[in-house]
Amino acid sequence: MNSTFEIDETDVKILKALIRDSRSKLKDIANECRLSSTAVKNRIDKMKKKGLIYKFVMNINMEFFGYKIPLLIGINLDPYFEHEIVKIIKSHVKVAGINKSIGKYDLCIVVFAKNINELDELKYLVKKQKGVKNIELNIWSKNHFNFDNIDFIKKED
Amino acid sequence: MDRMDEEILKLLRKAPDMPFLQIAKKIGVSPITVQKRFEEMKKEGIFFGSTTILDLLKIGFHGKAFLFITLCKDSNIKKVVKTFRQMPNLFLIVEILGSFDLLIMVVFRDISGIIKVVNDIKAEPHVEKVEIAVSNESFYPYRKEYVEINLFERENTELS
Repeated sequence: MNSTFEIDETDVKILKALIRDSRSKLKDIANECRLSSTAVKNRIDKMKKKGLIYKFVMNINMEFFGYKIPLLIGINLDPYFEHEIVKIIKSHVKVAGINKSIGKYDLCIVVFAKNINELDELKYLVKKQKGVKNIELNIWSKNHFNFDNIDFIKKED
Repeated sequence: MDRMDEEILKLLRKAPDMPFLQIAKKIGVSPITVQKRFEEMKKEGIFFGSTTILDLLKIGFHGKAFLFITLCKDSNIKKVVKTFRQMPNLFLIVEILGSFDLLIMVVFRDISGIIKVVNDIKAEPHVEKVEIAVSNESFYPYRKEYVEINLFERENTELS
C-alpha cells in the first residue's frame, strides 16, 4: 500500500515548530502561520492520522542519567543470529535505535553507555558470539543535530 | 532530582504533550508546582525539551543512510562540519573517535537522492573517503527504541 501524501509550506512550518518544541502552544503556532488555532489543530490531526507525526518525545539528557558515552555500534553478522546479538547489546547498554542496513555494516545500532569498561566487555562478548564477523564501536565525541535542512517538500530538479 | 520530579518526568515521557493540569491531578499537587518543576528540570539540563518523531516514509523518504567519512590529514574538522550543515537532508553530523572522523546521518527519497548526497560530500576538498550503510528505515530524528529507554533502574526491579 502506498500511503505517501504531500504536505504544503504551512504544514512544514507547523512541523518545524513541533520539532523545536512539541509542547508549543497552538495559539503561537497559529500566529506564526497566520491561521486560526482550529486550522492548525486540524492540520496536526491530519498529519497524525496519516502517520507522518509518529510520536511526541521528551528529549532527555542521557548524560545526566549517567549514560555519558553515545556511540554507533556497527556489526557485520550472519542475519540468522541477529536477534541474539541485539538481546546481548540491549542487556548492556541503552539502545536508542536499531537499523538493519546494507553496505559497511549489517546492523547500525545507536546506543548510550555508562563507561568504557562496559563497552570493552560488550565488544568482547559480542565478538565471540556465533555468526558475528565484525564489530566496531564508533564513539561520538561531538554531535550536531540539524533540524532545518530536511526537504519536506520535494524539489523538482 | 527528587521523587516528584521523577513522577513528572515519567508521565511526560509517556505523554509528552500532557497538560500540566492533568499531571498535577495525577500526582496530587498544584499545576503551578508542576510547571515550576518542569522549568527547573529543564534549566538543570535533565531534559532539553520535547520534540516530535516523524515517519518520513509517509512523505516519500524511503530510507536513511549512515555515512562514515575519513578526512584528509591536516583538515579543519570545524570547517568541514560547517559546510555539511548547509547541505540538505543531513540531519545529524557527529565527530567520532576511531577509524573514521565523521558520521553523518542522512534521509533520502530514492537512490538518485542518496547518490547525489554521496557525490556532493566526495566533492568536498577535505574528504578523503566515504563509506556507507543504507537502511530502509525512515524515522526522524529518533528511532522508536529511543522512547522506550528506561531511565530509572528502580523500575527494573519493580518489574522483575
